[in-house]
Amino acid sequence: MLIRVDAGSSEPLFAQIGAQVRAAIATGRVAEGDRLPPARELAESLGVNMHTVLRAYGDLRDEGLVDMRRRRGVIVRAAGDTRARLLELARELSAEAVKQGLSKADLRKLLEEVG
Amino acid sequence: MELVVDKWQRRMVFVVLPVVILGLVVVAAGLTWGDLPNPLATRFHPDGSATGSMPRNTWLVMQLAVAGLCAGELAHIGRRPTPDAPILAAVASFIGFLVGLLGLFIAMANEGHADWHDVTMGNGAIAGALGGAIGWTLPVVQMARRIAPPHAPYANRAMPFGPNEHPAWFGHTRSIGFALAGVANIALGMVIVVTNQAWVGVVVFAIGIVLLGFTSVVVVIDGRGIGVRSGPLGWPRIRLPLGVIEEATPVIVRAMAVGGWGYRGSLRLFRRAAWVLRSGPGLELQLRGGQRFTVSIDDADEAAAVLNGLLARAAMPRSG
Repeated sequence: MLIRVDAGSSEPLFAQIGAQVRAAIATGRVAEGDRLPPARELAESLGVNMHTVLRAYGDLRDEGLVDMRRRRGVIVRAAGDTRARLLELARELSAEAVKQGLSKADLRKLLEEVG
Repeated sequence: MELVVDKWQRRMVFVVLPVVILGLVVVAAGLTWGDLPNPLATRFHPDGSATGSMPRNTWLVMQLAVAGLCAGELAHIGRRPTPDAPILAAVASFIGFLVGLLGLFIAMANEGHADWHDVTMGNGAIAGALGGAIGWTLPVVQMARRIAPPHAPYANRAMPFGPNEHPAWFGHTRSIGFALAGVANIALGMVIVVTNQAWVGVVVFAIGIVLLGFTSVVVVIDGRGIGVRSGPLGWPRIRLPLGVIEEATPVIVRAMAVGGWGYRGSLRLFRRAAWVLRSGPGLELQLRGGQRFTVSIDDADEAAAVLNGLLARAAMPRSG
């Protein structure tokens, strides 16, 4: 599994890490039960603070994509597949809406119209 | 026309030869079985007198096992030749013919004797077996060289990385064989501790723990280089900085070609080392100073691309 962060990007480092793990889950490159790299090791490899990686992993846990257990590490959850794909689409939609000048309320209205 | 010759060579070397090797053992034992002493003489002093013996059945089973292994390996090479085909064919052919010919000479020497102490076998038989094995092996290696594919069947690619990018690649390989062997040894060790000599049980138990340590291997590639370590134990651990690596190539690793499973060879002593849990995709690193390190790893293609990308970026002069 490849994770790359760009220190020159305006996107926060934890968001870059989180997005790549989400994409890996969505595309099936990591599957249910797979273990993600330990936070300390990933932080050392990427040259970032361990808390940056822990924040990214924490967000993924809150989204229901991974389980974080002491001693067992960070493990990809079964339900991750569909949710990750939807989240990725939602993020893309949100980014596009911002680009088009739509507010969050406009976007919500748009989604209600579709559904 | 070239293809026809190639096919014929494959059949000759890798179908006929295994049959000849196994045939030597079967014919030698079959023709003399009734006239062999039991046990029969299997070890000899340089003066020709017998110094050791073995039960007839054990001798035959050992002969068949070794010859079968060599014949099977030759047949496999013929079916799916790899870049290491010549060295593999050399080892399998030499050992196979040596065992087959020695078995034949031992059977001939034992034939007609009631007691193995009376058996004699001159040095000429051993020299003949060695000469015969070498004589058969040389053309086998020649033919294996002709059917072996080139060493790097894959096009090597390098993933581009920006100057501010920090990539980290994590990969692993698991081996069910090592896990089963480890658990079996641990269980056996515990049984031996209780029922037999305690120290033997402790040794078997310890071997089980070591085998469990080889259940998986973890590979980490980042801007510093590559790290390879045992998954469950974290040791052994190898760290190769980017500066000592020349090139990374995805390869198909065959455990038999590197001497078996586990950690094989030594970068310091033999300039070649391999960490192999299973045959299949692997990463081969060409190091500065002519050393070569191979590790079996899933998704080796991407691992090589990341490492080559990091090497390419390191080689570029940095602006500013």
